[in-house]
Amino acid sequence: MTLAPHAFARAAAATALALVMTLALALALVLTLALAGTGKARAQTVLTIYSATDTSAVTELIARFEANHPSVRINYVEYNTSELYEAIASESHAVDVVISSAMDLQAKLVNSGDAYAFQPPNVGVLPEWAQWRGELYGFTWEPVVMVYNKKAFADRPLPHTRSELAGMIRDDPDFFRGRVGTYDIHLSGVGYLFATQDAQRGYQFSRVAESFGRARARTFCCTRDVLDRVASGELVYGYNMIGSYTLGVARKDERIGYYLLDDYTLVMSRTAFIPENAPNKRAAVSFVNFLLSPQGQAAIATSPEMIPLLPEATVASGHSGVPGTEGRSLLPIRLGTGLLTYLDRLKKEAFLADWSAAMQVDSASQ
Amino acid sequence: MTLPPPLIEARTVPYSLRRRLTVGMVAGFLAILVVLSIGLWTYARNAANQTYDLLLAGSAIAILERISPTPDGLIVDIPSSALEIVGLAKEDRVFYRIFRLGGSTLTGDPDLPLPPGGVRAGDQPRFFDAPFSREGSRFVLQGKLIIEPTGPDWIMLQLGHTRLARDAMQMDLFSKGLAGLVAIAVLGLVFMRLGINRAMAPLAGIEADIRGREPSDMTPLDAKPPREVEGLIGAINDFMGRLVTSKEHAQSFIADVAHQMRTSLAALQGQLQLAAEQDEPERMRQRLERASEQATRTIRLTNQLLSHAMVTHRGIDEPVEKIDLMPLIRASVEEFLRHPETEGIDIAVLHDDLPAGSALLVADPVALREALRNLLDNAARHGPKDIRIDIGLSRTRIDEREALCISLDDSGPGIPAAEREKVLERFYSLNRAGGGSGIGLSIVNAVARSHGGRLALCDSRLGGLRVELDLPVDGPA
Repeated sequence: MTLAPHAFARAAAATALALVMTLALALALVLTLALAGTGKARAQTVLTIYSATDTSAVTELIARFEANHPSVRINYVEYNTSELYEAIASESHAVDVVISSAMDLQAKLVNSGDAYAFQPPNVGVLPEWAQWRGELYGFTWEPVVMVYNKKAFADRPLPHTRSELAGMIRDDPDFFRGRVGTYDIHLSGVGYLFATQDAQRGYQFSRVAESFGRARARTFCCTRDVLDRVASGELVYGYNMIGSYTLGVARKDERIGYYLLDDYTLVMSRTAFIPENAPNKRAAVSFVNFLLSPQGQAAIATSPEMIPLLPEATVASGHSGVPGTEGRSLLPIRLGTGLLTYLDRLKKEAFLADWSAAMQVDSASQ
Repeated sequence: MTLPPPLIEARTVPYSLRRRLTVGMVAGFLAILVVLSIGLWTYARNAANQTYDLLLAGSAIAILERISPTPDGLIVDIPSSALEIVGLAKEDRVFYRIFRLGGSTLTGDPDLPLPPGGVRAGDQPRFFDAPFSREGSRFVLQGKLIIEPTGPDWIMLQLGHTRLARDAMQMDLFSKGLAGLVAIAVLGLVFMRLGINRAMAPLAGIEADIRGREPSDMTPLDAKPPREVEGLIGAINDFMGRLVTSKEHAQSFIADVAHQMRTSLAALQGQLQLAAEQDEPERMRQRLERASEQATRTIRLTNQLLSHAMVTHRGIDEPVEKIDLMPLIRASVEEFLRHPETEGIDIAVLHDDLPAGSALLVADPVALREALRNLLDNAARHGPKDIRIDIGLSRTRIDEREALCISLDDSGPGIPAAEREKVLERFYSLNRAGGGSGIGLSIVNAVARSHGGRLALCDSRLGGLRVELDLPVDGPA
């Protein structure tokens, strides 16, 4: 009998515990089901984008796309242009969209027959030079610019042609020695593209290369490295920088100046294509269509590091684009088989060898 | 109630000349189109290939020019224009490789397919198609002899691109050419159809003419038919002419018959009236005998008229059976001799030159029997009581056709040569008083004609008339 209250209390406690546990289990089950359900509805498709563009430059673009397409989540993987080419050419990656500024490498991938053809709704308004085979589409418009340290050039004239640049370096070797920067075309796909395009424009480029060699010009993998050093004054002049990126940095950094040369200005376009073996072709097509659409172009206009392909979007965005492009001889780099020439193995070896010989680059110059 | 099925329409679905011509022409045009299309397709392919082969050839020249030996080794410096020239076929992908004839690839894609038959040294461009890539590709292969420190060596350039531009051009040439061909074919068919309609128009006019006529209107068609149907119109007009003649014959026959019957019956009535007016029994009896004779003549006339009508009618149905004349003649003679008034008549049937069972011919036995009966009847009626009749059967010919001749010789009074034509006509009798109706010989004549044979009258060796009835063995022509 003395056990009775104990026994009662224990029984009551056991009952309460069982009740609580049952409730907890039920709750857990409901939550699990609910979460599973919403999770499924929220991200049915993961769109894998391999890109040679800084993630920071495309954050807004991706956010707007995902807002328009709630069922698609974007997996954005950043590469440099050469690595990106190797990764795609190996065909071992399941990629939905390939984006790169190295137009020649993109053209080579498309030429190998690995791209999927489709027609964006507004294909008619896209410039002809920025599309190829209905597979490769350019979506930005980025002039190649020269940058300089404003303080260093405060009391000097800027060179306005490549001949003037070569002449200036020759005439004042002390000022320029070790203080001119450009791409290392061995490492940078887009640097190699610019250099080979320059080489096709005439003899001035070989004079520039020779003068770079004499001035012990330094080469870098990326635009940012050059811009940082120009800002700090370690470099005074940067040759062949991507205009959009430079523009974004120069807006925030008073020390950096940029301008276009008078003889000609190359215009590059970032290009996108969908591999033939892309797992999510529909989502990929809608992404590329978005890039080329007025909304996508407007989103690109907000990026500090890109300029949209369609000039209306630039105007609508309130940005002025690249100042000083009016009246310049702008030479857009044309997508097509012509870009394959300098990717020929022997041609590339010879070009790099000539470049290296002219630059007399040694590894310490990095 | 169920309607009887439309047998006639189901049995005779007429074919359409217009449809036959149209179907024939469409089939012809289709066959021509197919043949021309194959030719056009080949032509378009060759034209497209020749056009774009020039791009390949031009680029190949530009590239080969930039392959040169140096003391440091071979330099291959592909000019950027070269791939751009090939790239003028804007949508096409470009492939190339440069290799030594020995095999090692110097630059470019080492996996490109070689031409069928392998690589041969030579500086002439060689073009070939290969199923490389999903669009299909066309390549040029061209060599250049390089003198290197180690000796001469052939450096081969293989340059190609996908076939998109070529196929598009081929399709463009083909479809435009085909559109022209189809347009010509359609126009041709339309004109042909119009032509057929125009050619058929006279037929419709003739049809309308015939349909629109009164039943009695038998005048010839006044259509101006094209040469091709002139014969048909001529035949129709001939046929209508025969119909008119036939109708006229029938009308005159009916008129004759009516006249004869009326005359005969009027005579009979006259005799009876005369008999009725006689008070004397003897004269009345004489009159009645005359009336009886007149009645007999009338009956005979009626029978013969019916017989004539029957023979004429039967002549429409062509005989198809072969019959033996001998038993037919015998049966007719026996039947004739069965009548009491033929007592004393002597009939002989002579057929020495025809063995029994060989007098076969295609003929209508009923009509022949009627003809024989009339011939025997004629001889008996117009001759003496003891007249002698010889019936002969022999072979003869009618216009190269084999025929049999039935001849009757009698010892009667005969027919003067001048009258022989006339007695063949209806109702012409030399001896009306003797009960001649003038129909007997015309029945025989009708039988002869309906069998494609002929009837001849001449003098008999027995002193009277000889009748020869020639009938072709294989029936009327």
